[in-house]
Amino acid sequence: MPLPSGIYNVTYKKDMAVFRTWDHWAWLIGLLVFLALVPAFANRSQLNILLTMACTIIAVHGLNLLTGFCGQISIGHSAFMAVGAYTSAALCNELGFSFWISMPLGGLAAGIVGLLFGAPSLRVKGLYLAITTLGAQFIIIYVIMHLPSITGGVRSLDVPPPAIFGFQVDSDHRYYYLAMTACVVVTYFVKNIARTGVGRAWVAIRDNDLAAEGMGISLFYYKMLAFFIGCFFAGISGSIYAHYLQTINIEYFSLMDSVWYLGMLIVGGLGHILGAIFGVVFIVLLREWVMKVAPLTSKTLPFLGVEFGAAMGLLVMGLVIMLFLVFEPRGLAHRWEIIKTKFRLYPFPY
Amino acid sequence: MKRNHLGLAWVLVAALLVVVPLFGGLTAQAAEPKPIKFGHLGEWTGPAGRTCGPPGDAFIAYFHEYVNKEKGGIPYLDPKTGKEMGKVKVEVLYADCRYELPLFKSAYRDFLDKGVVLCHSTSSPALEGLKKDFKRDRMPCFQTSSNTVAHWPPEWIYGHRPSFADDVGVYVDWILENWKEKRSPRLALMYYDGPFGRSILWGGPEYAKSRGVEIVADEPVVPMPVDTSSQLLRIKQAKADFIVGNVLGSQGAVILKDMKRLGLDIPFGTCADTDAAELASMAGDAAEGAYFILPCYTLWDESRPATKWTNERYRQYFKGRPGYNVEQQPYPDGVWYVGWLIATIVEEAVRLALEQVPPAELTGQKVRDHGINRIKNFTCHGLQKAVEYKPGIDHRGNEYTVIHRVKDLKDSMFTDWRKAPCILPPWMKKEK
Repeated sequence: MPLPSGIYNVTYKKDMAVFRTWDHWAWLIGLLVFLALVPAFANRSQLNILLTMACTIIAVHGLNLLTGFCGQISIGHSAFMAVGAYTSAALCNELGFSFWISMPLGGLAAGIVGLLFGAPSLRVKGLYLAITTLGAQFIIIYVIMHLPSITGGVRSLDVPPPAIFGFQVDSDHRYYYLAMTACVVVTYFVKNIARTGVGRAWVAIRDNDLAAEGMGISLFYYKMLAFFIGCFFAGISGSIYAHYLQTINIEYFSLMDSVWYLGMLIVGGLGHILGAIFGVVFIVLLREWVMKVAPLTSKTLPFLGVEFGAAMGLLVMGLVIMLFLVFEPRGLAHRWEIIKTKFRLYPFPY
Repeated sequence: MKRNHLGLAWVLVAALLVVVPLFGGLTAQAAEPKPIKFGHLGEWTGPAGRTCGPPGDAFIAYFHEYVNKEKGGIPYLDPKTGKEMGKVKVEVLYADCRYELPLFKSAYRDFLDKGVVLCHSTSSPALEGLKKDFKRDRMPCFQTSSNTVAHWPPEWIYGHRPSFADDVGVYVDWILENWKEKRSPRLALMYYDGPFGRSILWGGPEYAKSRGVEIVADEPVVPMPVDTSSQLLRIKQAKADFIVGNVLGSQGAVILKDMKRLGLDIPFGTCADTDAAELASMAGDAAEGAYFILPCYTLWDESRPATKWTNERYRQYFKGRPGYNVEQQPYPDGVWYVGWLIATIVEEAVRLALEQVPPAELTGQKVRDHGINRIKNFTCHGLQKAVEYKPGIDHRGNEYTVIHRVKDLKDSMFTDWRKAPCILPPWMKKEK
């Protein structure tokens, strides 16, 4: 992390710390206090948006490790979320497990399934790997659909809300704290793993796998690890989201969702921890905005009807993303770095 | 000093001139109650936009144009004296949720924050995904779809026609009534490969088998198919006598075109998902002779006053609107009609509730208890058979429907109203 001038790291511990200045701590504490106070002044709609963001950020962090750091494209991330969601739901429903056990087991199941579909990454890469993970999307959903005794098949499966010492986490306000805590913990974990030897090995593989192998990095081990951890987070996200919805269906884990997760990462900035967060916030808010465009347009210009406004909203959304990629191809995280640097150097423009 | 007094007097007069009309306006506004809000969880874009957009348009137009502008609102009574106190207008809030559950969730919560007392949705994912939310929030939701999963067990979701599984039963009963051969009839099923399409499987095949009809093929169709030859060839090989499809119009059109191309002359009928106008516009000549189920009379035949009343309003409200060609087709599509039909039931439920509850005190629970549960023999102004709900037992609302057929590329009522069998899904049988 770039530091202002005059800050020196005199110990290894200080050099390795994530938060190194009082400013960093103040921002962190401010953010955590803000997140903790949000339910006090947010309405149900806003809380739902924040909850959706928190769950999506966890999944996109996983995809970021896999694609942004390790360079392994996945277009099946939503299906890995489904594995976590259905495993967690089945364990709660069939075996009476608590959410606190079924959630990590859901993540574990998604991680193991991720390993199966990650295996071809040793032989294929780029677009070919993308096709392989696309296969995962269809195969996983097919399996879920055809195991009705466990998954409910195409019928929606009921999922119980989590409980802490008998206290039901069944309202948006209560669930917000659970999802946001998970999101903060996962973000901290991802931030750290990206700075370790594992994170550097992934970056080396992403930049040039042959050179990385020449340097002694085991491609098999690190690629599999990226698939496992990336899909583990997808499973955790799926499980948390499923217990929030209290009902799941295969239609909630579609190919389009997988494409959107990739889109969020590209918009936010591949290979940046903040990129995953920025991308999710940007796209989720954009989708919410587009949803509300149709009623606004049809109220202002009633002769156009609702359909016109809805279609225009989608067109604008596509245009925003296109323009965004043309003018800011390195993502929002990169723009954020530029803004921060400018403020740090102010009033000197160099 | 005198000058000062004069100035003060002028200021007072000016202030009165401004304030009096303002207060007058406020008093006048206070006399009229705030509009009652309904939430429409809609889809105008996304995979089901073509099917789910028109019912949403009809639902909104019914309240904003017909109820508010033509009728001046829904009358409300003094609960003690039973005297009419005035009329309350309706505001329909809506959102384009594009078949995406997070958007449905978000829109629903937004509606709750804005104080809606009733919801309406056209979408199976929304109905299945929000079923628990409706129950928790005590929010009645009417469904344009006939999703079996949403209907059973009956909680806070209400319909207006038999479920998709019941539609299979309607075809089975009709086939058996007209069956001449000694062997049992062979039925093939084709359906949208997802919860909506597969909802016919919740009891449909069991009912067919129980009536002695053989199910010889079970073929899913992808949501946006370009070719269904392989499914159709398997059905041909299985020697099916009839195909029942629970598919959207866009899928039905592909199936019908492929049937024509392959030379298959097996009769094809859809559940209540599409109509003649949609099939003919997409499949052309291939749609001729296809069957479909809809709980309505022939839509273009204005000899019935209710149909005339509906079609006149359709022409009036939708003339020049993008996506509607009123000049070329002066009567609505079946999917539009269904939204209009639901709106009449919703209006009736709220009208009954307002007989006992003042508009300002109306909630979802009160709409259900004082409105929906009190609906008796309501024929939707003559548009369909009587609607009535059995609280906690059956929320489909109506057990009757009609088999229609595409004739000269137009809708024709092929049978009279038929009572559909009540086909319970497996989980309801377990509960029993």
